[in-house]
Amino acid sequence: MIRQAALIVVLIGIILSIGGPPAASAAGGDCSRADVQMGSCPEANGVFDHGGVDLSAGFDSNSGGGGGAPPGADGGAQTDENPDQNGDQGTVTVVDPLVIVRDPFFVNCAPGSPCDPSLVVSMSDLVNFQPVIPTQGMEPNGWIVIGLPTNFFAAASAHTRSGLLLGFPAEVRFTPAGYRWAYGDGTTGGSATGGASWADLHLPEFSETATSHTYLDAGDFVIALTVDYSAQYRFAGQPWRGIGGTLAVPANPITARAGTARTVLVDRECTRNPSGPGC
Amino acid sequence: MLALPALAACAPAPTPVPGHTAAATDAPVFASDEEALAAAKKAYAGYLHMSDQILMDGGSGPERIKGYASTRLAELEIESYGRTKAKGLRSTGGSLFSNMTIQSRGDATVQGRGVLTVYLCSDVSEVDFLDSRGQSVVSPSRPDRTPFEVSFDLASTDPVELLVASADVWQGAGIC
Repeated sequence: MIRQAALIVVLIGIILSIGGPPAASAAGGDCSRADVQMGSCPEANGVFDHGGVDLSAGFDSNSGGGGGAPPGADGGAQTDENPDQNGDQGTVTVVDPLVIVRDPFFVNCAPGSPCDPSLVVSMSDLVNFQPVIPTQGMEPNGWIVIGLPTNFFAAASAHTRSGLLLGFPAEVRFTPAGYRWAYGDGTTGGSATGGASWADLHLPEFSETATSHTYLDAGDFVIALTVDYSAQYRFAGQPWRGIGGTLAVPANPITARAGTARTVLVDRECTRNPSGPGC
Repeated sequence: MLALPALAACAPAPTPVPGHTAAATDAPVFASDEEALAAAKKAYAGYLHMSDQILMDGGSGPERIKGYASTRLAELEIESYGRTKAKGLRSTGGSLFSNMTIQSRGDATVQGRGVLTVYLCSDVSEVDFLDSRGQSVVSPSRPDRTPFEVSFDLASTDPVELLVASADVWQGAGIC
């Protein structure tokens, strides 16, 4: 009923040639395709041409006042997905009730919205974005020779998630920045890289690697890996921006048994137990 | 140390499978965002095309939308097609959309309702709406491009087919 009434009001508006921008109302009920095509969606008119204009004006005024992104960064990033987005620049004459003055520019931008150049996003704002859980492996797989290096490696890569950031659609890109192992024997190790298998490193087995660890005692150990992700975000159609700090994401823990080389050979000889670990 | 060659011989090629892996995905319905987007694009394109077709036919055959929309949305659209027909209106030209981005994926929703929500930019710049005398009835203030928040219901899982469940005008910047 409400939509019917709205349709009639707009049609009368057309007949009388009244063209004033209707007040922006909260988006609510569905707007039928016929309404969209005729321009009868009451909440749709006069509120949409802001994004590109506001963005560039905001950044320009920001860098002009000291600080802010270098001009080159904006120009490059704006071409990536919405090349036609800036085509509206200069055509917007709608006076928005949310207009704020950022001398010497007039910027149609609500504080705290994506076009606000002083908006600060922190890791705690990323609650809607779950990075992929990293995984780790080791070799020999599941067992450890006391006194010889055991090689650990992680599988984690940069990836992008979509979702709502501060109420606006955004993408967040997670990039592995550091890897921290707790080897379960009371020692820890860190690496800027995730490491790789001996084969991938073209090293003989039981070689030392950047991510290897040598156990000195027998026993069962639980090896924990934490990957520190750095993060960047971008609101739809805007350039990537950094977020301070890192996000620690634990990987799958591995349980492994450490023994001497002789124990391993006698107890788990491959000819007798071909499916044993390492065979 | 003498054990080394023996060990190496015993384990010729321990291909390092990153075993013990916890599941790295969280998607029972969609394997990835890309797959979800592809399904959404297909569903919404089909919905738009059929809706355009009905409006070009002056609102005739309105029930054709049922294969593309949820029961509730189909009812709303059919009602609107009825008004179009009663007024003797018809459309020309096709609707377009762009910039579809995922807002949320709800993989554990009841019966697949609202399994996926996206933002998109609806583009009706190619569309005109005419009365029986051929006069355009398009509002002079019609925005050619309008951001929408569109949610989908799961129609089937194998293969994944979606129905458009709702399409609401979205009041944010940055989509169009």
